[in-house]
Amino acid sequence: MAPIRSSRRLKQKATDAQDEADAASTTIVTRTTAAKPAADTEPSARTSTKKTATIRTRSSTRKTPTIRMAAVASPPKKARTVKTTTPKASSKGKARATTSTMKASQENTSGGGDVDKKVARGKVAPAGDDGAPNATPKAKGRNKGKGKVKKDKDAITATTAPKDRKESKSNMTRAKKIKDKTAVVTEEKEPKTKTKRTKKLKDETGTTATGATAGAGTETVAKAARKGKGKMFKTEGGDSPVTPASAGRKKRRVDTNDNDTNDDGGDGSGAASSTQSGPALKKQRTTTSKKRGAAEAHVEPSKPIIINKSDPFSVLPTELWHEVMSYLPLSQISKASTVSKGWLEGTRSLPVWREVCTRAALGKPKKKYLTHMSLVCAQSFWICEHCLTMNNGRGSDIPMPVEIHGLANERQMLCRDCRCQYYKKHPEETKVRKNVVNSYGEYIYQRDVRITKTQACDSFHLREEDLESLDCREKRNPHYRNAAPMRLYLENQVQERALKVHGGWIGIRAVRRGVAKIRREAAKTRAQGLQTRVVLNPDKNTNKDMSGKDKKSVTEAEAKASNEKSVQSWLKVLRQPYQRTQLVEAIAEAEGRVATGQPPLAIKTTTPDRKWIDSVRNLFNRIPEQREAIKKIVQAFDAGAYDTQEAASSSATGAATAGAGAATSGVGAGPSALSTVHLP
Amino acid sequence: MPVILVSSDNQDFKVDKEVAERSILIKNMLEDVGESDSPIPLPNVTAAVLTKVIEYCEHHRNDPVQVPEETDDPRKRSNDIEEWDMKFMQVDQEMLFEIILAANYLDIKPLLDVGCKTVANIIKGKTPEEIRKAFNIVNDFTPEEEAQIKKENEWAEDR
Repeated sequence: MAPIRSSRRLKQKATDAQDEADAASTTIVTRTTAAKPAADTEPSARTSTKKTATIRTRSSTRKTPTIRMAAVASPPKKARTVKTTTPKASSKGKARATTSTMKASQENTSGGGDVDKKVARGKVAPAGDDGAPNATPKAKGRNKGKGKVKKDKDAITATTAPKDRKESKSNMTRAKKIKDKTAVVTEEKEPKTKTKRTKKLKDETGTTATGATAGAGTETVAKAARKGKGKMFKTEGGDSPVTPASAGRKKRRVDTNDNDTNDDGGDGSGAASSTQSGPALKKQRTTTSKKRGAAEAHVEPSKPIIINKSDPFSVLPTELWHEVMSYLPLSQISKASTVSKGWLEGTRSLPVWREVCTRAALGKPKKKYLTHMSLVCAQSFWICEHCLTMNNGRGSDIPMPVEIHGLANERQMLCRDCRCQYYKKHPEETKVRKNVVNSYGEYIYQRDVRITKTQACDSFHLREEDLESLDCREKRNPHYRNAAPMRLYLENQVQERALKVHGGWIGIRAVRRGVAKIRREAAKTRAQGLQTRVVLNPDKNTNKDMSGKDKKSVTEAEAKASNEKSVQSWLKVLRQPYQRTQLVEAIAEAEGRVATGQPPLAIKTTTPDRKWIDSVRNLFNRIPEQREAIKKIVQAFDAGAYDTQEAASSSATGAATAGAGAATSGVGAGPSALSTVHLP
Repeated sequence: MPVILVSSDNQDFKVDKEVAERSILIKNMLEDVGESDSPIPLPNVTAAVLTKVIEYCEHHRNDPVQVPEETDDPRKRSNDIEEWDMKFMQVDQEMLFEIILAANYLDIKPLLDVGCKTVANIIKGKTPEEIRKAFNIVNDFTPEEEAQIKKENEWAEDR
């Protein structure tokens, strides 16, 4: 059966274009006139009419003036008829239109041809242009009519219907654009209309089926089915007898026409028959959903935007926001990014990040660093905030924080060159030793204090070339007579030279402390921390790279492997009683600081033997997750969870892993592997 | 020769041409229109803001035209505001932003710069919480989001 149905559908589709116009036009006038006799004969029809009326009540009264004019031109009954010829009503009532009612309506509008025209135009108007709500079937008397104006009317409707459909389409889009909310309301109401219509049409079908066997009144209904077909009606006329089946088929065709017309007009229609209306319904659903989507898209911008008038980001336009931000150092901008989501967006969109990426050749943001800003911030150890260049060199070349003269709170990360320029304008004082005594026990004037070349090179990290331009006094070498003479430089001069070479005292300090090396370590840790974020954070976004591929599985596998490794290394540490004590103390210390609300520790390693525990303490302070993970490992170790493992590993590796060497290697591996430790 | 400026709330302001011409927008308008007594409507500026702008222009009427300095510094400095300008900008934030917007609309570069510098100075040296307090901003991040962003956008300092 299915193919046959589909072929029917195809045929119907082929005739749709022609049918639509006529079907629409015929239904315009006949809809309500047909409703009356049906209402008289069938209770079901009566209910359907009521439903129509209720649907009509939703319609606006925009068309009322026209209707009123029509009412003036014609008797009151006619006017009522005209009122009831709403687009929705007409589309529903196609199947029940009869020749007699058609004629009656046309006849009644003698001199009311104009009225018909108006109605025909109004028919395919948007839903909002429906007629008045008083659509009661009072057109009983008008059913006796002559077919005088019929041809004219057909011609009018045939020409006007497609045009009007286009108009209605454009009207709909316009209405959508202008009144988003109204559009939404209309869209939301549609499904209800659809269900009502479905019911109504089912009722009508019932009426038609019963009507075929019910005599005069029902004959009218059967004819109405034919009439609804438009062209078919013209060719067949009233000659061929109408069987219930054929009436139903015709009705189905009419329904499909209805669907098409309603699609255009944005008017919902029901499914008269389950087989035929299937695709049409589907189509309509999709269009409705599309419309809904569009309506939602329209609705979104109309949401009230709350503007905080004291928030520069929400008040100022983007250009001015960028202008304001151009006066801030990068460190401050990155701080400001955590103020609110708006500020985050505003700071991310700054062109300075892109500029830094270009200048420092940092490349483009990829999966790890998704924005230019985060890419730059990841390299912030090495970026000069003044010249925006990157320098990951050694010694004093790296950017160091400099307190800017005149601004109490402002500190900028400046590279050596920028520091030198700055200190040229704002020179720093030298720190010459006081109360220095010579070999005779006499105090030496500060300016005359001298130091040897070796002292100058060691304490100020200067090279021989740097000292070449300075005056020096040569003295015989006190240690070896035959050795080269000792060169004594004025300390004041050496310091001045060192300040120039290293870019201020902060540069000298940076060289002395090996800040570059510390930073390199810190940068590694930070990068690992960001990497663990990917593993630890189950957020969808972080687990997908730019191409949308799921990288979680890869990182998890890697994490598992490294986790195993790190747990083993921590176990090695724990097997050493002294180091275990230190580790437990470090955990307790970090927890104590957290409990008392103290800021995290930043311990600087002084002695090599304290190096590993200090780095562990630093990490425990900085990354609480890691602290918790290690704590759990310690607890599990104390509980003897790793005893069997220990036995197995000791038997496998033998005595080689035990002892001080193993402990040392464990110590070394522990902190570095911290970042990959997971919660067991 | 006086020029009449009409604010958005239809208040007339009679100012000297020299003063009015601190605004590039008005200057160009006057040049285009030529000699005319017709008032110049400024629909984007309220009377209160226009009063402040005129006050600024009156004070700086004799200032030489600013030539953009060619410096090797890619970042601008915000600490070079004159004392009078600093006092002039001591207004509530709403008015401050209104002045900035008006300066942008009227194309008064020095006033715009001073406004932007003032806003930058409010932000400068403050922690995010302090900035929120200063501008009455609500923190709309979840704690997790905030931690994440801090981690990502942390600027390495003091090491």
